[in-house]
Amino acid sequence: MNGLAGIWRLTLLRLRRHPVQTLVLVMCIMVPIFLPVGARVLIADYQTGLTSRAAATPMILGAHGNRYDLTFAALYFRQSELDTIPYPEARRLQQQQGLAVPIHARFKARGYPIVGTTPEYFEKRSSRIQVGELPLQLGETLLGADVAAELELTVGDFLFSDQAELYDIAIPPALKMKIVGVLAASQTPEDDAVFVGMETCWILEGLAHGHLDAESKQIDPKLILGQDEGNTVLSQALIEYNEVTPENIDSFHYHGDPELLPLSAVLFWPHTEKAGTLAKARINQSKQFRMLEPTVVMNDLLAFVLKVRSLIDAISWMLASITALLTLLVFLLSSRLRSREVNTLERLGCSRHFVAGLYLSEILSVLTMAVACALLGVWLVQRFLAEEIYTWI
Amino acid sequence: MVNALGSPAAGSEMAIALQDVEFSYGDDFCLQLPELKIAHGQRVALLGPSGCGKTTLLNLLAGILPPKFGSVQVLGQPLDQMSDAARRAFRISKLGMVFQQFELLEYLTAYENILLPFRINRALQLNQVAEQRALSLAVTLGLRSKLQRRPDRLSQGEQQRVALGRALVHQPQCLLCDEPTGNLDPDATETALDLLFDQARQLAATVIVVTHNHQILHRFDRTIDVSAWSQRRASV
Repeated sequence: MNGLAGIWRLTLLRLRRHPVQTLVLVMCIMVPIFLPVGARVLIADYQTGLTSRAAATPMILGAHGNRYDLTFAALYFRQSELDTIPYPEARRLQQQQGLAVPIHARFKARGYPIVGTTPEYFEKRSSRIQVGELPLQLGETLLGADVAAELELTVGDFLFSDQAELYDIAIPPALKMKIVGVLAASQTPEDDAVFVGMETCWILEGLAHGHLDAESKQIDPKLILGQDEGNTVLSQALIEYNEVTPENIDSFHYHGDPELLPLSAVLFWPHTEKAGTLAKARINQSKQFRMLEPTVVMNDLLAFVLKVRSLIDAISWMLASITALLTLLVFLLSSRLRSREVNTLERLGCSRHFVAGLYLSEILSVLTMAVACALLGVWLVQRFLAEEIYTWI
Repeated sequence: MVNALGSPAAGSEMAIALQDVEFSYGDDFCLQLPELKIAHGQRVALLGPSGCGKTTLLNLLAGILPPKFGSVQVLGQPLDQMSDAARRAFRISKLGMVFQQFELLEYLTAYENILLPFRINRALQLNQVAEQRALSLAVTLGLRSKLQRRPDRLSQGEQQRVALGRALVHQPQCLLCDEPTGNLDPDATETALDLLFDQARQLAATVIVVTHNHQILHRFDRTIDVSAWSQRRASV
């Protein structure tokens, strides 16, 4: 024990005496450990996240186009260039022995996606409300946990939707939404979303709005473009309400057919496998829209991700081999530089085992530090950067 | 042949006894030593021109080099019959070594350098007694305020004293010093020898010093000219 203690003591003191050399060596060894381990951990997390969310959603109805776009729009509220589907498709699907939940994710508030959906969505996702309630009224919103934390908002506060077009007065103004609830954190995309009821989406789309009563005397006569029996045509320059209040809620009304509300997708939970198969067959046969199974899409995507992982692994192996050779070279050169020290130790009577132990303990110490740094790095990335990396992917 | 300015005490037990020793470095150099006996507690200077084999003789006495022929007995141990590992164990336990360049470990403080024999030798137990001895030795050697300094922040004289502390800390019975004052000025040389001999006296240790400095020979009990035993072939 005394010998071992001496070896470790001398090793520690030597490494402390040469901190820069030690640090460089540790970093050089750390990188080829960190890269493959980090990639594997992140990809495993990513894989778990993708597959579990996909598995929790049996089917998605949406427009033709890139199936990855549709899946990510439906499951992760990612905005896409895909066409929309009309709202009645959700109802039609509902009649196919299953639960159909519409998803409208075409607008943002302070950069976060505004997701229009129905209360059933929260049941299916097992979302728990931390404080407040669901957005059941027009103009109400429920925040994801991260959104509430980032924007420092809570129940009773207000959140504006992002203005889609600043200079077009025909476009609805930014909507001031009242926050009625905040979801509990769940480490899912729900944390980063702003939920509203489907009716609020009509306002955001400009299919519904509220303004002063056309019959009232408060409207500037210049904004009345025409009037006949029972109908008044108003200028688009008429200021619409940008907030739904108890006082003005009755003034909100639809223009055109409410059924035309565009949806990003419809999530479908069939009661039975047969019901799902039938629904899928009907939709896909019509060729108007498409029905897909997110697990299939995600598995295809993961096959690509795993290829990327293999590539990272291959690069890491090459890097590790080069690092191993360079580290060997560094230790060989170091041993030559230490020959005088070793000579002194041997002349003093130090055993060969002790000298070998000195070299071995130094290698072990550096390796241990490198592995520890690599694991710490992986943990830090997993803890603080994973979301950014997944978003980037 | 021994060129002895002083002779070993008659009848005393020998600390060192060499008989018919021969050692060579290839065909270039050969050291042939018919007999050498040094009594316990003697202070012996090894003299001779550069390359005559002084350091080689010291290495033979330390068991660093095994003889080609003959017997080397140090403190009663037949080094010529011992394995390399046994010689190392003997060396670190029973001998104290001081080198010309001091050879302190650059990454250790003066205190850690003094304690080095305890770090590298399993047989020596590093305990409070040993640490206390290292501290009191450091105080005696005038290093009290320099204990936490590394060698690069010590003067030559201070480094020499640290090397002396390292050689003495485990209370060896024999001190082998290879030109320990070679890098010191006359005053520092005198101080170093005072310390060396004073500590050796307290330990009743035999002291063998390789030196070129004839001005310090009067401080030794005995002087040996090693050149009489060495043969060197001139290279063509």
